Amino acid sequence: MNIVEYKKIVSKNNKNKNKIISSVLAFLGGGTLGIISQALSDFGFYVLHYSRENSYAFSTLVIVSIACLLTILSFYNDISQILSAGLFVPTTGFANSVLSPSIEGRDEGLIRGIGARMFSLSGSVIGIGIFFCVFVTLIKYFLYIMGIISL
Amino acid sequence: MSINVNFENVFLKGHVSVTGNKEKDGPMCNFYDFCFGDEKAHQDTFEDGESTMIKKALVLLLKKTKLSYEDIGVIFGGDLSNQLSSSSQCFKDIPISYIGLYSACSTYILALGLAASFINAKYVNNALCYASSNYGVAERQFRYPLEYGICKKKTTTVTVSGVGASIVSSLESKIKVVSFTIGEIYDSTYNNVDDLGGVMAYSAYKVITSHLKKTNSKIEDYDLIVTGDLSTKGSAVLREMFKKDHMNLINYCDSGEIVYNLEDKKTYAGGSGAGCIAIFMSFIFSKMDRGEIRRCLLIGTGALHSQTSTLQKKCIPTISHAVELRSVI
Repeated sequence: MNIVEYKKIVSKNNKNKNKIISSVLAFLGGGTLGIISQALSDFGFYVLHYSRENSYAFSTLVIVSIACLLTILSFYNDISQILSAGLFVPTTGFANSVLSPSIEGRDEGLIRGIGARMFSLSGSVIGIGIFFCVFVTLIKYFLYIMGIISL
Repeated sequence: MSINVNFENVFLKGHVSVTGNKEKDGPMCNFYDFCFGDEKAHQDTFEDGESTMIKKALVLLLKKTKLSYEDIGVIFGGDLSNQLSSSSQCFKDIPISYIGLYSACSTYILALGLAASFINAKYVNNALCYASSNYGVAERQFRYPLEYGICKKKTTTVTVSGVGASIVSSLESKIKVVSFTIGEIYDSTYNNVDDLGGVMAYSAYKVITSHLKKTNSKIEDYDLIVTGDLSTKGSAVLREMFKKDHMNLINYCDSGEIVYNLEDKKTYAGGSGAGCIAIFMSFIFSKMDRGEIRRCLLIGTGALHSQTSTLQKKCIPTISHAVELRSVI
């Protein structure tokens, strides 16, 4: 038995999740979250008489708070195993990725534990996000001064 | 080339397993000596919990074997935390010579083999060997934070929270430690951190074939062959590898496959960690003590990677060690 034969056996025994079922579940999960957010935003706009911008902020705030609460109560991990990208891609995923490492840092203190670990997973999203924002803005600026687009 | 050491008059005197709550619900629950209600063992941190579990195992083992601290010459063992900090915190109050070992999930088998070597060389009369792992300590060191909602693969394993400790002695008892094969480090060229069972299967295969060759024995000669933590995936790969060599791996089980109730979806492909085979030893010890298993081969399998080496896209080196036990009733 050599490594080549071993690798053949390993790849033969690979058990992957059914991608179609996972995609459908993620679509339904993400979609439901979207509907709930829209309903919350409309509730803020029509019932609580917030401005349109504030109603969006209101719905985000509620969704993020629920995600944080579920993370603290250890339910988020169980739900996300079923809905996968449906929970991971929206802002709930970001809330979880900020909160979960900071829970881990609790034993190491406020500054070097909770504070230092808070962005250990999501820091790259923020950092690289800002970098690409600058990059895209520069492209847009050059297109503007060349007269191709208008602001 | 792996070396093989044969022992004369080295015996396994006693074994104790202390676990957390998740293992208590598994099929082997009746064989464990003590189960804590949670992974933190009623302490504030996971690290303190692991230290408490090791200490509890030590106290129970001394009580069971009617020995005191003075009777034990040396301690071999380790855990999965960085610089073996959980073990060091535990043994700082215990006046016994200590050798800390790190061989990932094969630590228990390495400790058992080294303790047997010390007894065989007549350096000491009694030696303690143990291995420990803790879900909270290991998962966040090697994987992601516990509450991070990343979608896990079917081949992912769950670190066992538990400690298994044994006394190896020169005084005659029912179980004899016969032989020890020290494995080599292999690069299986399959580098998937979500499927460590599959990665380690290659080194397990190598050490089993090497042990059989060195001891001139066949698979059929053993009543039980146990691997450490290959999980459902790795054990299936190992079975198929032997089948290809026209050897049927009968009387084989993997402790990672058995430690949890696999119907529970949260345990994925099974258990892993240094404590996995160490707590499973309780089952083997009680069966061999009664003579129901006469000859047993234990294989500890370890993946020697770190989070840094994984991020730097290095390979996952694996190692396995084998120890053969015989019942002398």
